[in-house]
Amino acid sequence: MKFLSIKKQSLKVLLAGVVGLGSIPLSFADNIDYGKVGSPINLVVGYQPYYTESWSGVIMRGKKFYEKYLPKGSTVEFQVGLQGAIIVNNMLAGKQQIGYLGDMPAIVSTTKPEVADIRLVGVLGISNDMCNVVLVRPDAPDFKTPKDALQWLNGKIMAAPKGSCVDRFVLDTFKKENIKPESYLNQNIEVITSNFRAKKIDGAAIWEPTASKLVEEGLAKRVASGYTVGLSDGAFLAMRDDLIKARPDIAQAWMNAELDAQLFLADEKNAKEVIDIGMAYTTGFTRTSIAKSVYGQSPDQMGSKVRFTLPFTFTPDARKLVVGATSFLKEMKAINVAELRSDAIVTKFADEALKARNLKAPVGDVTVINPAPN
Amino acid sequence: MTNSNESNPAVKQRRLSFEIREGSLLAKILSPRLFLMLVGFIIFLGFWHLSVEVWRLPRFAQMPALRTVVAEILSPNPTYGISIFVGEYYQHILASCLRVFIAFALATILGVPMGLFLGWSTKFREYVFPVFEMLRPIPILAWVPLAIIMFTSLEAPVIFLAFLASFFVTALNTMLGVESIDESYFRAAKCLGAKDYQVFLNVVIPGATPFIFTGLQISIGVCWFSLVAAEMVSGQFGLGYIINTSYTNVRYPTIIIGMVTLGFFGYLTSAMVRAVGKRLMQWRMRELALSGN
Repeated sequence: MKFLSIKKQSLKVLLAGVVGLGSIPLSFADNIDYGKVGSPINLVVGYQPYYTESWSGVIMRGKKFYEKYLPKGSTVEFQVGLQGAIIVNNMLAGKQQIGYLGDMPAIVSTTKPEVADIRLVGVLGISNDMCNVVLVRPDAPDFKTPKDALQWLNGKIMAAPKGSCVDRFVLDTFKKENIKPESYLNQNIEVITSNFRAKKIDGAAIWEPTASKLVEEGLAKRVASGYTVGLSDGAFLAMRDDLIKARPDIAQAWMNAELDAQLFLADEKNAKEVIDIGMAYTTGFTRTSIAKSVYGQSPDQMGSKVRFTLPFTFTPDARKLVVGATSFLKEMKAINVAELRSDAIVTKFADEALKARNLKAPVGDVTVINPAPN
Repeated sequence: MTNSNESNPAVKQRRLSFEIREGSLLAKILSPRLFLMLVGFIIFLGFWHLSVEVWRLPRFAQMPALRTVVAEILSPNPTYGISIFVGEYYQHILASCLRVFIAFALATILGVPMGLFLGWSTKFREYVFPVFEMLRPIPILAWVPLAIIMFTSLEAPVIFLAFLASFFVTALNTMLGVESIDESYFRAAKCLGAKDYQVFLNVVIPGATPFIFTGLQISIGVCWFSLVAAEMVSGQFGLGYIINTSYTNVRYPTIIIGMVTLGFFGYLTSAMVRAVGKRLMQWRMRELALSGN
């Protein structure tokens, strides 16, 4: 009985404490101080040197185009993300303010306003085979057509990094082509590489430049891509909304610099330098595989001379990709909305940068160079 | 008519003590242990709710709210596909439990004898212990590429990775258990003419048992927490897989669901190991009681 009375007393104290503490709305949520308009800023940018379609970020780092536009005294720290999801998580946590992302992570990033408001401000590239590349083990049969190769995956073990741009491609392809693999494994690039080496998986979908690397090393062969099923992939530039609101000058400056980077990438004369920069910011790649990933050609490209288009802003193609991918991701329960909120895409900075130079979107293409420069 | 006994406090007290018999369910429910456990959970969940939704503390404000996670796990149609109403959830639990069970069983079968020999035989220890100590600090993640290449099936590397950390804990604790045995027991056994295997069976094993069970409790926990790294390799199914995939898909409520479920089963399995240990160690309890410790 004594114990019961102690319990009652403790419970009362506990409840009173909880109610008391709960009624104190402290609201300590931290706001990031970006400084006043025109003042120097310290930016942290998440970029993906291991995703060729987003290489304007690599060019930006190598050529430092941002120095021309950011206020004097500003600093920029580039942080590598091996996968877009890592950059999204860092942006949501306020550790990075600008992110270079594949399509799926970019779309996902805008659907977490309860954590942080992230907006898409530019388009880095659109293609059919920068993210959407299907590889099979090297001893797989020689297929007559890429579609035959996809059908071969029925009942086989397939892997891809889930949550990445290639995940959407794989799920959509399985659905479109009615492919039912024995299992669809979520594995990161390193595990996929090890599994190809150990011959434990039959196929994988992966993005450039790793796709070219695995083919070059003889660990896998390329058999199909987004061209095979008419699915495009994309890469987008994302920014935290608090940066946009507090420092529109910085958002504009970055987009001006991004335009420089995309124009540099589009110019075929810069091919050798692009490869030099790519080599400088990646490890474990040969010059040949880097060159092939940007300028190479494969049979599944069906003769297309364009590796990827550089839209810079949200062209109808880019919007179509976003709309289609968003509704598909909702269907797959990867996100909680079927369409992006109306303000998720902010084009004013990209449009302003184009207008200032009298340019129209898309700003160029990265085309096949045969033989690929070395 | 009223019974005069009912108003008598002494009778009431006797009836209460009769009803709340020691060991009965009611006694367990009313025990301070359960009450304190509930208080602990209330404080934890209360702090989570207050820090994220009410106080919005720095760095906490971005965390998934308690209400969001509860709504997701209890939703028949969960936003991100995982809740108690979805069959897939139980598939993940079953996959992880099976992996942990196999890894823990292997770690026990191999780790206990290894520890016993390490503690008992100086020569064996001199051969094996340096290699053992060199391998022990290597993190599970570092073993991932080798594990994939070493084993032919897709499942074996996952079990191997979960087993590895658990094995070292079990073996080390067992070894310490043997070392903790009073030297006089060995001398006494020898004086009484015991052969080596008799010393091993009658002194070493019973003497090390308390440490072995402490080690097994830690080992099962280690097995669970190395599962997240191990299930990176699995590519499908498992609570670690849920956590990894939800991280790359930025599905924070599902990450928490995976974590809480993993924690719950970790707690449950630890309690089971503890219960088995208590049952097998009743002689030890009696010994301690008799010695007055």
